[in-house]
Amino acid sequence: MNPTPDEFREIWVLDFEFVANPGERANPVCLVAHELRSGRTLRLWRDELRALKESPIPTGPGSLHVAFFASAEWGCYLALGWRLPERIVDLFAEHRLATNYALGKDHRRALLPLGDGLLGAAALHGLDVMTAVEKDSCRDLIIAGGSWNAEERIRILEYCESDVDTTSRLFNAMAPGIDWPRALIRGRFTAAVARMEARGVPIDRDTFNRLRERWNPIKLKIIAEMDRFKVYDGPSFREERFSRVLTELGIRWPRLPSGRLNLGEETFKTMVGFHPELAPIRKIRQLLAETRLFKDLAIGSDGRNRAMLSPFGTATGRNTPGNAKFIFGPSAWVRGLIQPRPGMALAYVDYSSQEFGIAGYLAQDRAMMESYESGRDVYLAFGARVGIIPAEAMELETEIAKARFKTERKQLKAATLGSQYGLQAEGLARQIGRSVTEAADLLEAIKRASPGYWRWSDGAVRLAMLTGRIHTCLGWRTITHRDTKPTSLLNWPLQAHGSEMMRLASCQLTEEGIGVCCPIHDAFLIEAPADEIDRATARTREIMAEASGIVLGGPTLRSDAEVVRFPGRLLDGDSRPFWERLTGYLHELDESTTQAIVKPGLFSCPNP
Amino acid sequence: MAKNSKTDSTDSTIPANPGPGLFDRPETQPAEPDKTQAEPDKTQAETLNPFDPSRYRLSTNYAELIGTAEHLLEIACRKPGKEAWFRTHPTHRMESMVLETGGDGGGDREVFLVDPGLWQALALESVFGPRLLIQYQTRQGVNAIWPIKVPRSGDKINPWTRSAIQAAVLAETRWVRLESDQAAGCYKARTADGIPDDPKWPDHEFGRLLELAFRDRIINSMDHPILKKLRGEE
Repeated sequence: MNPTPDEFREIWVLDFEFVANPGERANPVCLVAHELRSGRTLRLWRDELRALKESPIPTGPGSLHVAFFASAEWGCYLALGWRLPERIVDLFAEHRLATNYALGKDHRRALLPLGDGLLGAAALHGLDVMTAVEKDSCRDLIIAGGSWNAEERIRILEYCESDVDTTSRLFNAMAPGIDWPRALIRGRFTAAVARMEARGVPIDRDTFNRLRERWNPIKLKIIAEMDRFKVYDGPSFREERFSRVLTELGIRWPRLPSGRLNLGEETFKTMVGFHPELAPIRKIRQLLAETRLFKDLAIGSDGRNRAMLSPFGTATGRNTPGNAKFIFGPSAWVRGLIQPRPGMALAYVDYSSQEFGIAGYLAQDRAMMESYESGRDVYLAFGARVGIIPAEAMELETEIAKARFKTERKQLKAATLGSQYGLQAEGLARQIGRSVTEAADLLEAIKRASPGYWRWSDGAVRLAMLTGRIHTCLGWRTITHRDTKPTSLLNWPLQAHGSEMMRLASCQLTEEGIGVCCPIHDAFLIEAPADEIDRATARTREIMAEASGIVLGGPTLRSDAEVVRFPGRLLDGDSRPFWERLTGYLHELDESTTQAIVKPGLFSCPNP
Repeated sequence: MAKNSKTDSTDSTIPANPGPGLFDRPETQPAEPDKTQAEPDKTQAETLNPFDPSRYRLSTNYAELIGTAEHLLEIACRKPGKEAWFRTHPTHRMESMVLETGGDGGGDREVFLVDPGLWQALALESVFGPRLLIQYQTRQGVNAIWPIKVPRSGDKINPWTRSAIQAAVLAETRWVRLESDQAAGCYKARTADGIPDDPKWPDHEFGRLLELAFRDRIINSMDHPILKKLRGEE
């Protein structure tokens, strides 16, 4: 039986107007809610909202809550201390799903000239709506904040009501095409998003402020100390100098079609993996690239980074938080700013080889499943099956084997993950610094070792191209267009199922009260009192395993966890030395500033 | 700011008894009953319950969803490439008369099967002769037919033919790579004993494979364009 919204006793369409300053929680201004069956409408100004201990709309399973970009509404619920509704449909998510063309971002945007907002979605369904100019002027009035006069209050409420009216009409237009049971699972996730956004990530604001004040001298110090190849001229990177260094070191660096060196971060990341002597240059580039860090990172007055997670933003359904506003957006060293409060601890819990596991289990590929289940590092285990890594490696301790066969493992990992999104021998050869023939042999060996996966992957692309769409196990889908390239679909099922897994886990974690600060691709950052963090981490891992079991139809994925207690910081092994160097400079500069103040005798005793 | 539950607060407290198994409960929330509305009937809550997603799982066996199966549609007739590791099928082979064009600077080699009724008429044609047609498969899973030149009745077998047949026999049980040794005037066969897997032969009769390989290259009339070309009539 395919359920429909007719089974709900009440269907409430609602919208809040609110002020959300960077890094702060939402500050609700007003709420308008309209019940579709009875025609009843609620219009509540902020003083009335604050007087309520619970939402005036029933939150139980008999009431369907309809909103556009629903996580924003639940952010207001949380700010008001209200419990969240249980049955939600987010028309933004459903609109994204209905227009989720397997095309590049710009190409898709061209097909939806009015965008993915409420106006764009309504226009797509032929609904009359207010103009973007009218909407902007009302938004400006709300953002200006403060004490609105009676006339302005009426205008804001009317504006809010017009959005509710548009959302109601959009709901009626979209409802017949909505995949009901699964739409509610996506809706459930919007509540989890609101909970994670409300919690935010604890930031060492003092260090952040000091770094901001001393940023320019620190940059120059870093360059002076780390630029041993002298590719910098002051703060400027000189490509010709870098090119000369590459020639001297005999390194073949990937180039752009124009013939110039490809200096993108991804290229640097890959190349430094094979040529660690170039790591300092990458670090300097990362440092200098963070020009917007101190301007845009959204830190609230309570010292927590809160950024809109922007759920369902990518074709695969992943979140798309703004890189500059979100603490996990910039380079890895910036994570040194993440620090638990005294008495608290953080845990970074990530799925172990999530993509590999998803690929193996959904495709039921024997070699990949057995490699995952070996309990060893999957790339060592799979490498041994492929024949790239000697079987003796499996007798060694994992860390020893990883160190001894570091290059082979890296090559195999690059080839395995790369082949899953259609990487060809030429591209792989550039990545791993080997000949095209060797890269082709490696790709061939991987394909031969995992025939089940390739049959499944081929079936997925065929299904998409033949039927015009492909779905995940929980109904997220992408739609092929005449310009869709089949190769662009190769990695979609893996990423999209990873996204489903994270959504399910987010729901259960936040509903159980685990303090999830944020999701980060295939990981969660959680927070708990120091004496409870181990239990919270263990439960998080259980929930992540259970969520993976639902997505994979039984088998579960493992996870790894790293716990940081105050005053520790969330840094990985690669970033820690750089962070320590950075803070070392900061102390030096702090001290020299102090001495500069002391020297003139400001605090010295006058001579008798 | 008032907070009505741990879940909704930013306090980092973990419930003493975390909930039961994931998604196996009908409700997630409230610790207290929701007094704002009557309980919905059971059917409704169960039918549209986002907290039990495993009930709504769709199949991800994509190939099965469109009922696809792999079909062999093309098969080449050529010697294994010099870089290819290959295995020969233990039984799929046949000797027949063919006409082979191209090679020696005359473009790509092309092999035509010739109707037995024309063999007599073509007996003196230099590009017409017997071949042993053997099915082989490369490590990449590509199937093809290897046309090994065999001596006409009464002719001596030359070292190229002998070594090719030896390599084909060797390739029945081991992975082989064929190399030309111009100095010795024969092929050399390298074997790779480190390759553990066996070929996965397609489920096709040899006759069907020959049909796929030669469907556009069968000479059954003296008016065939290839024969006309050989006679200088085109």
